[in-house]
Amino acid sequence: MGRLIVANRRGDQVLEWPDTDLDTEEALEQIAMAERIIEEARAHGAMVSKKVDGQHVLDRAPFDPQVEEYQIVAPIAGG
Amino acid sequence: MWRPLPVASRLTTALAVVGAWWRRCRGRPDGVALGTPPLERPWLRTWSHLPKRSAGADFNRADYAAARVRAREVARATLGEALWAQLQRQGYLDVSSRLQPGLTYRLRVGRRIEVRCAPGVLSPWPFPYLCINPTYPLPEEEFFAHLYLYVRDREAHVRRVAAPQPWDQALGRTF
Repeated sequence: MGRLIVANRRGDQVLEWPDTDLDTEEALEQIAMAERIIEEARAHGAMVSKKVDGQHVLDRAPFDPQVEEYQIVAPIAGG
Repeated sequence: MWRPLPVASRLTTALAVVGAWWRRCRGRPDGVALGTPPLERPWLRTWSHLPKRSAGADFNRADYAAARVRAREVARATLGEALWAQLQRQGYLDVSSRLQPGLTYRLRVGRRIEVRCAPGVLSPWPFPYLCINPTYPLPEEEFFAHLYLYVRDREAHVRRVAAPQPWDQALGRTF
């Protein structure tokens, strides 16, 4: 199961998709939604991290449904 | 489907039930529906009107409590077990600069970054603290994990946006 953590004031909200049977209608919808959210967040200055060896690293690569876990990382500002 | 993380989900439900009961007792409509709230994409909104350390007027005490519980889970998952344990043990995480040997960023939950220099190393800033906030409100443990990722993986960006400050202080956009 892949998932996207959207960190927000509620702590987080999670979108999940299967990491096998990617061709089902539901899986395709969830994957498309995750990809859309990531693109939208990046376009608004957020960063995206993905889980690698048990911890997250910031990542600029295009969305990959085989990644175990993504997270939207809030944009930052000084002051 | 959207769903919170498992432990947080149970607590959220419990808090929502108690909150709904409390509001009914006080003759107020339920502000929190049972179940999962709709997905919030905070990058689409403007938050500059909010008071410091607030998540918004529509947030009640149960919302804050549930958010902090979830944030702790996410921060732990983001950092990984080793770093999380280190943070719990010592109360901060140090990140060595990759751009300037001898300079270390000390990160603490909900506080400004402390810049520490080895003997003979000059800081690029006139003050020892760096104020960096998320552009939208986040629980402080969650933002701590985000800030750790920024400092470790995007140090140049951090140095561009950081506002140096002469004293330590709680961050204004976290709660």
